Amino acid sequence: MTIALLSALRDFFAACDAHSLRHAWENMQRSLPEQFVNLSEDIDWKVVEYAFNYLFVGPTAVPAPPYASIWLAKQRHGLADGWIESSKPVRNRGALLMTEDTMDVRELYRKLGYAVPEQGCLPDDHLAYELDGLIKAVSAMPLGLVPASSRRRNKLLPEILAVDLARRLSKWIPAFCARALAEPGLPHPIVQALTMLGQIIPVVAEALSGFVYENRQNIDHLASESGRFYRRAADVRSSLPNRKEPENKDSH
Amino acid sequence: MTENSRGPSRSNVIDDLLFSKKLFSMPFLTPYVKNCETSDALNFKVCHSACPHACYDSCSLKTFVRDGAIQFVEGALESSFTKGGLCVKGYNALQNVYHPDRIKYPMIQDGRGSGHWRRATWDDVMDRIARKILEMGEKDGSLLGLALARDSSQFGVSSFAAQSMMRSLGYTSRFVEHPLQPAAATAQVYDFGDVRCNDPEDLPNARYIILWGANPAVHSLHSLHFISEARRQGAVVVTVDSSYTESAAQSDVYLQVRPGMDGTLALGMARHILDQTMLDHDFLSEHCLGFEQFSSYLRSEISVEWAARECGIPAQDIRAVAEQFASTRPATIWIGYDMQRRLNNVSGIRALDALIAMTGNVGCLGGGARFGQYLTKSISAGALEIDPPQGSLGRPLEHDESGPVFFADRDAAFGFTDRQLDIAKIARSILETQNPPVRMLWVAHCDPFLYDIAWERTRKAFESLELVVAVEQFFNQTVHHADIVLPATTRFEEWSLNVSCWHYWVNISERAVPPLHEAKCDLEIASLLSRHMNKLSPGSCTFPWSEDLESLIETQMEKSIKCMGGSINEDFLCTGLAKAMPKGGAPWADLRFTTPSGLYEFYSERCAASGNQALPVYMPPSLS
Repeated sequence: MTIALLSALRDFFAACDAHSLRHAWENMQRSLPEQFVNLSEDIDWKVVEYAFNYLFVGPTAVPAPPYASIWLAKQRHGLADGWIESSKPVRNRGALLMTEDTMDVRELYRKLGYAVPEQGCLPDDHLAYELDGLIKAVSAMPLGLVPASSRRRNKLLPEILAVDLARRLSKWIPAFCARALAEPGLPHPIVQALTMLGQIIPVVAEALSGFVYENRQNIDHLASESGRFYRRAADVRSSLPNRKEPENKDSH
Repeated sequence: MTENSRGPSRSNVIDDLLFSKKLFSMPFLTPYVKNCETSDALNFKVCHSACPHACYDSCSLKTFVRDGAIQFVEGALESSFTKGGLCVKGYNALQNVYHPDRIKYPMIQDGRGSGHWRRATWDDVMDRIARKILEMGEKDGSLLGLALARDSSQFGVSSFAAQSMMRSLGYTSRFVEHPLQPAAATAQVYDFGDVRCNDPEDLPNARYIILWGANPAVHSLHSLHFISEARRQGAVVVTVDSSYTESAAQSDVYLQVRPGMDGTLALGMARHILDQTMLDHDFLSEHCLGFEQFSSYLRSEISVEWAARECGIPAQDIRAVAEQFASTRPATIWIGYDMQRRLNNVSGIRALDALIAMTGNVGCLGGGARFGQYLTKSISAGALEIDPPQGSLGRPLEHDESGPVFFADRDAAFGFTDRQLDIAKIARSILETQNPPVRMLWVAHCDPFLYDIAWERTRKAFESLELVVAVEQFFNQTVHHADIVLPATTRFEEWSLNVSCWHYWVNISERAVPPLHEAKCDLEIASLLSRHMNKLSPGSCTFPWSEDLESLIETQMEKSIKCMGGSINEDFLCTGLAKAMPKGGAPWADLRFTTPSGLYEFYSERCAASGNQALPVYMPPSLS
């Protein structure tokens, strides 16, 4: 469900026209718990497209560019977080695309074995790419038995990359969403997508951090004994609180 | 669902993340393939380029690229003009390339000025434009309803492609005249026959420098270096300006002239030089035409006292500066851009040329009337060389009309030419032009809303158009009133050949990084439009469209280098930059001018024929 929501959000922010916005939004509804679902028919998708372009695409100066480097620049350069201090969030006007922050995430993708197609034409830290990176990292996390000999100890594992990506997203997504949501008169689908994004990212980041932290101890322990195997992810899960029966999970 | 309604818990999320991985496998990020360029993360790739800003200095740059992104730029040490230094704007050139507000995709506005923008593919917009052009051609019988508003903001080969694209479609309407240059460029063509100036690097040879309406401390930092060198060697620097500028602060003498009265001051100085007979008699008798008429005009109409009253400078100051100027050699005048935006100022600038000619400061190192040079600027001629489609109709060429400069010969062969409209009066031209009216406007490298202070009239003019296409990097008022906006590349994302209108360095501008988002350069846009035109109606556009971009640019560059008349050789393509002017040479050193008489013309019949006075006489200033 979470993956489906992340994928739908990725597709939503990567959308190029009213049709793809609608498609992504409908997928998003399918991935949401029932009480959040809103499949009303009376949405004018042209209006959604205009508002989407106004917020994120252009050609006017965009209030909320969906690129991490713009929002991380504040943190990197120790600038005040304008979106908290002022009543209306503002972004750092001096921030540029393709900075060190962009290269950081490019490096993460590389470690994961991926790259942005036609590298250099689109900044690697576009929201949709970062979400895609997170999805791919999570998908690469081990489910079954993985022999310890096939992984070097302390090598960056997909789970660690997933944590890095999620933590990175949680650093800039709140400011980004707050700034975008501060624009008046946004159509419902955009508000919903931004709200969902703003809520899911911190939760995913926290969950992954906790999971890896616990699992990491096991990994360290197991790796010290050669010939042993990692524990199944399912076993790890069973050690977490609030667990459910695996049969229920597999049906998702 | 009770748990969900309390918000997702950590374990739920983990379960979701891990067990639903087979649901989605949409290809988005692609597998990473290691290649030598991207893996070399520590070493810089260094590219030659030229500063994208249109200014005197047009600095030679080095662009440092790492991992596919420009990290920083520096001035090129190889250029003896740039000498490795840049101005604040130059050092911050990256802000143009990587600014998040850049126009990223071709976009269509539903309702001009509505702000309702939607993305479109290049093919979609080009198809729409091509159909509109063909429809106009059918309706009017010619393409005079299609107008191009383009300003020469960048002296680069690829940026001239908008003009050749128009020519490749047929005869169109053109907004012509550079809003900054006409006065001085026209004046120097009447006097000398062409626009040429001494190499700014020879300024240290000068012993007397007048900065007339020029402020190099702000507008040409690198030239200031050579002026300072001249001062160190004992030269006197005078600034003539209506306001006290940064350069005036660094000068020995400052004359505050009333706005628009520069020509009057020059005539007053000329009268005093004539009275003191501080003339170069050899030059005047052998290489000049009409000095007798000019001197009798000065004696009968001009007095130093009258000039002092008119221009607001005391008569004794005018006399002192005139005497010093005429008695020191070599002396030079830098004719700045401050005097260009006025009617009647051709005469004023011809009076400045006359001061240089009377004292014989022509054709020598450290001398000359320096406004700019069109030697390297002729690269545009190469870029524009293209024939219209067979059977194109346009404005019939009138008897003994020379036509636009670069097409004179070709137009004569076909008997037609473009309809020329004044770029300073874009709105009025659009509203008033008939038979056929301007139906479609293509805007490149300029913002008509910035040129015309009558904002409301410009808005009305834009409303009357059927289609407006703007090629831009950033949103402006013209884009706001356009139907289609096309994202343009920056200098660092395209190949180009770059020149200055002041110094003689020619730069290759390499493509340092691929165009960000979906931006395209003018050359590529032209080729794409031609492809769509020919698909819809074969033969309707002659712009080459089947060649790939690289070979197109290569052809353009070769043609352009030839246009510079052998002043540089093609080897410089390897070194990245070269100087077009032979070292140590001064323009007009052979004292053979390219005027109709072959002499320096104080009395110009061509000037009289164009509606001005034949002599550089006093003309009351006019602002409109």
